[in-house]
Amino acid sequence: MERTESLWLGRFWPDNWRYHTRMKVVGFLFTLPVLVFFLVFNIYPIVSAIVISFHEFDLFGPMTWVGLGNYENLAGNKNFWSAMRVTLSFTLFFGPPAWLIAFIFASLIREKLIGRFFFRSVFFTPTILSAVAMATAWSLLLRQNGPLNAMLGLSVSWLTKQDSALWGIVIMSVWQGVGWFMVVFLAGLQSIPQTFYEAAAIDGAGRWRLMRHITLPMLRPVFAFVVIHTIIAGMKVFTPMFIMTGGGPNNATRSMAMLIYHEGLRDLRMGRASAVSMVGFVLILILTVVQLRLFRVHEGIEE
Amino acid sequence: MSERSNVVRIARFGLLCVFAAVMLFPMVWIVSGSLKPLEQVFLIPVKWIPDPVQWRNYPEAWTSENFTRNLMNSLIVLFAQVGIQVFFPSLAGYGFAKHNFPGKEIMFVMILGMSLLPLQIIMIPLFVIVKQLGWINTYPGLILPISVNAFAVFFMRQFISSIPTEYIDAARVDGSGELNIFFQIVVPMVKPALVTLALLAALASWDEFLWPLIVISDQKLATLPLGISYLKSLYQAPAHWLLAVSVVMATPLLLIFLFAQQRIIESAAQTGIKG
Amino acid sequence: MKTRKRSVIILALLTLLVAACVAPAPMASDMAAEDQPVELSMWYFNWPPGYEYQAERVRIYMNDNPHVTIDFDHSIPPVGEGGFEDKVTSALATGTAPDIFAVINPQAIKLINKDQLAPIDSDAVGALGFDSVDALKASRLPGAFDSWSSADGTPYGYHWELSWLVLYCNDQHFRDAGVDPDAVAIETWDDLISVGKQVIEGNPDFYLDEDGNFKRNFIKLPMYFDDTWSMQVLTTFLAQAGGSVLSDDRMSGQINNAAGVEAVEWMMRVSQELGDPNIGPVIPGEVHAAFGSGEMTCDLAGPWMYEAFLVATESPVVESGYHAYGMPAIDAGTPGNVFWGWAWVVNAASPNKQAAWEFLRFLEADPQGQATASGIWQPLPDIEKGWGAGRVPYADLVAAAAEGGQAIFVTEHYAEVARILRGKIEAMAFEGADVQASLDEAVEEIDSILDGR
Repeated sequence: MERTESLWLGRFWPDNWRYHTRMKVVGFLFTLPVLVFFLVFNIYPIVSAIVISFHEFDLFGPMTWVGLGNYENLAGNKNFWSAMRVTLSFTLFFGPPAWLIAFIFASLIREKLIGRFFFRSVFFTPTILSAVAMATAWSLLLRQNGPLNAMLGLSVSWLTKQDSALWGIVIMSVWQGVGWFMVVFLAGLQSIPQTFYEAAAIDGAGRWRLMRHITLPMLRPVFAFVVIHTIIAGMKVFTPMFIMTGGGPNNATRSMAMLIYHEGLRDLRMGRASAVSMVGFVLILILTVVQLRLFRVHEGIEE
Repeated sequence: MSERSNVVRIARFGLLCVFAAVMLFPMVWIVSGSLKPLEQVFLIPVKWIPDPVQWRNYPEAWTSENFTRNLMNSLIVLFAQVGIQVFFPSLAGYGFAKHNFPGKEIMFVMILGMSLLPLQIIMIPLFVIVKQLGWINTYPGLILPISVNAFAVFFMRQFISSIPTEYIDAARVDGSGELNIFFQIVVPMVKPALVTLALLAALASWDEFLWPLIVISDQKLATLPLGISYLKSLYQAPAHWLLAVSVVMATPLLLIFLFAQQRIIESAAQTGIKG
Repeated sequence: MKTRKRSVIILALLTLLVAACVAPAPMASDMAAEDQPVELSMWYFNWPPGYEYQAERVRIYMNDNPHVTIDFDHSIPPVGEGGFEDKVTSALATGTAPDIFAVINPQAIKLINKDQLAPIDSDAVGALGFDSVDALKASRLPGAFDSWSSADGTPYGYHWELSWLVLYCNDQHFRDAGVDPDAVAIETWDDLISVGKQVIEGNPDFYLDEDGNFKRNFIKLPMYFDDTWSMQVLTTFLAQAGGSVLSDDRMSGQINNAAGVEAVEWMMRVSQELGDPNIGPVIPGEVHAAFGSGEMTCDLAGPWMYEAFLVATESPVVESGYHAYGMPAIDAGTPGNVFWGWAWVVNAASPNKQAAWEFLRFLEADPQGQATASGIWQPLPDIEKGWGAGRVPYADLVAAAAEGGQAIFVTEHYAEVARILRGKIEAMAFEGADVQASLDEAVEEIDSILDGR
């Protein structure tokens, strides 16, 4: 066939390959760079984390097999459980308040009103600002003699007490995260056909009933999406702790991500750090299955 | 309009103003603090308008560390990562959307599955791998391992899927090569998606902290976020300098946001740029 | 400035001459004969008084030895999260570490045991300008090499900074409270607490708010959110109480014994009776800066306080005056202090070890110039009596505070032990956690680390 001659890399193909075979190879080649990337930088690390987690490895010497030793250690390791607790607390303290505030914001600016665009920008801006820079600045904002206390009339030493340090970080995170949740909710709200409300309004449904029987059910997939991302955010949280408290006081803000960093890259216990990673990985795996199912439902992978 | 709905409207507007003030207050304090003499930063009651306005905080803070070098590194990393993040996922998106080959579905689901995998979980083995590659303290080590995002592949596939296949078939019949089709037909049609992708990649790259922290110990390669964290942990890091540097770090993001607000907000809703 | 630099150089040469008489060795110029180009990389941390002086020495050396190029990086923050120690360890583990870098004493043993450092063997000792290792050791204060030596006594670090804690107080704050700073003698922590209370009572508006809560600290111990500093303060109190973090065989923790509890209780009394740890500056650097800016009355800091926090920051305290009060003890007459410091080490993987040691010899050949320019005192006998350190007010008192000093405890697990103890210190200081219970917990955690492997 004439057209195959000028096909991409056409003249390198074996002559006996048919056009469709060639097209298949071309299609595969388009995806190849990305495939290689994910194999080398995502899949291989996961496999290698599993392998390392059964070893003792300090980067300097060779790896020594310890079987389930690292996992057994985690079971009785105070630092591990404290990191899990911190991660869980962060997720719980950060998620629901941020969702609620974001939902209120989204509901308030959902309909047309003066300055809607302005309000949306203001609520979203903290999300866009650099996490490192904001953590740096918030460690000053949260000082005992800082402006936050001055505005609230408190004198809490946010970042030095075990009870309040995580709250300090949560406050900053909610401030930074609420804008993102807001636009997610906003997109969800705007995708609900107006006709549903009109029909319900004719039936004489009040605001609350509209909310309960139309808005919330329609937003269910959005909520699922938000919950997954909140859990992931909890597992990822690192920068605020690193910058604002270094995981202190007394490890009260050392998250799972920070424990992995400390075990692996400060104490050079790659094996134990990998074991912690695997615990996180299992959780991610579950979330991924849930997420893929959601995508499948809404985007239709199988076309 | 009934009287009641006007009251609701005004109440809602008032409420929004209060919320906006709460959200703005830290930003205003940061900017105002960055322009104050040190002894005024923590004055109570808060002094919102700096008097005198001390512009020299900025040059002083900037030159207190090697921020110029950090900035250059950040820009190198940013341009490289934006280029990679836009180009390869687009290629793959075209492959997934408009070609058929065995194993395509599985590959795509696998890549999609990676979209939730955070760096935090794989940082240890990734560090070991990058070490084996001899990439610690190099630009490739700094740029490549976190350069492609699974979501970008998904995003581009969705966009390219929406191009009518007839255009592409017509070009194939005309004898165009597949790369030509990609550059001359696909790319122009998905330009908005590419711009969005580039913006998101730029935002993420500018703010990436964990990976440079791990992979860079040679300070000649340190990026801006690392530079700021260094200033923070220094023996003498005056508050007004920290604030000034924070403002400098955040301003480009703010500018990008102001120029491309609609685009960023729409895609943020789908992706979780910060998530 | 120019003339001072010139005189620094002249005196450096004189010192070299003197050193050459004590321990005859080939001069640097002889060794530069072979003109093979050599490239050396060197890391130090971001400590302006130190690196500015070193950068100048590097410049002079490269000028005198055109075949040597030295790539000197000093932009890493000193300690703490992601700081100098982490970066060095990570760079060593990945084979990207420089030829020369500084190592703080507790970190050394781990690197020595992992064969990462080049020993100061007979070749190296020659390059440093000494006949033998013994001659090198004899030239420094006794014990100066202890922390940087392997079990068999081979030194791995060229010790160039010795530091210990000294109490400094702001004269003006004392006078404002009607206390004469010259009439005050502070020998014990008890003395400090009673003087402190007197000053606070004499000028309550400065320290207390309307409700009688602290709004400024009289003193805040420089130890929070920083493993290194926590250990420095803690081990100093421990040394005074006769306690120690680990048992003699280093196999278990014993800080929860009576001496340990006594030491920590004194630490807490000083922290909580003369201020509120929850307010004011946070990390140690900020604490010192607060003393320099007159926000805090007394501070515990090293001999470098004057150059680094008073002169360099144009502190008002230089103008209004301050006193060094030596180092308070728990019991009068039994002083105690702990030595800290940094040594230059050469990477075991460096292809240019000899050239590196030769350069280090030059770098540290002018202790008096170094003391003047950076406030860093080398561990040399009577260094405080030289003109360099002598420029520091109260140099004799600062030196006297080193009396009864000992080296910091050594263990391969130092970093983990330090982090555990730092956490307990924070819980005790910030929230008043029970001392005995906290230390019991600490020992339990330390023991699990020590027999964890």
